[in-house]
Amino acid sequence: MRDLDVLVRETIEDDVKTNSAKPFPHISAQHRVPGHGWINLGRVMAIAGIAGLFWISSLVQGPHPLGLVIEKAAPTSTEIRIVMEKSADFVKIALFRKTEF
Amino acid sequence: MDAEEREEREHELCHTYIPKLRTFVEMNFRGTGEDTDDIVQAILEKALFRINFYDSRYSLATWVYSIAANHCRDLLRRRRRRGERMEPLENPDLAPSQYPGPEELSLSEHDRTRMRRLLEQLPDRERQVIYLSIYEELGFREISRIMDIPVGTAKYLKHKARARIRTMWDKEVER
Repeated sequence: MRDLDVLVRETIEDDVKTNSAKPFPHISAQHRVPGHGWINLGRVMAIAGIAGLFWISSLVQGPHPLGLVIEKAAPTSTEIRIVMEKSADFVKIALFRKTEF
Repeated sequence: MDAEEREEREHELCHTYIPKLRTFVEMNFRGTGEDTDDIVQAILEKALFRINFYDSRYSLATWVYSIAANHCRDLLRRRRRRGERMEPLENPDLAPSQYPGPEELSLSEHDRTRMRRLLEQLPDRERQVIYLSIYEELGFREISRIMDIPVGTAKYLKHKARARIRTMWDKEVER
């Protein structure tokens, strides 16, 4: 068989091309809030349990390495606001999916 | 790693690697029982949070695929521990030979469809080596790092996979 490697490469490239055309992640449009979003800590707790809260808490403390700005809506609020830089779109979506916001 | 380089890597991860990781996971780790995009997201989360530990002596591809392969292996192990049945790979009936022979081989859709079927039939480790070696053009040392196998085994698996593909292809042509 001639050009096995070329054919394998072309086949995989074809699959990657198909995958490039799909939106990521496949969440509904209402979750794609440009620039910011809110996550309810009670909801996080209900879905992800205490581990989810620890996870969020670790993000809340200080400036995030990925450029996220995370702040509580109010000192006593159970909601935190997550403001993302444009370049960190993926993380924003990841956070939403993580908590099924 | 300075801020500029980190930003560049993050951008590359979130743009270049999403479709590649999807393909890598779909091709090589179907038995996890999880949604491909959930897996890709978890891989990217790990990669993004560890970006400061990326060692630029190695290619980004080696680093990302190592994270991906480790993550998927963990998922498979966890599933096995829970005693869940692994999904068998599809075993599609090979279509009767209606395609051009090897001497007329062109990169047509038919050829790619046939090649896709043959790749699906390869043992998992052989398929992974083929993906990393032929598509990503990684060296055996990098592949051995990603797959956590000796370099010699990576070479052997590639040799075996190519021979297997060739045999399966020829059998189809003979039909």
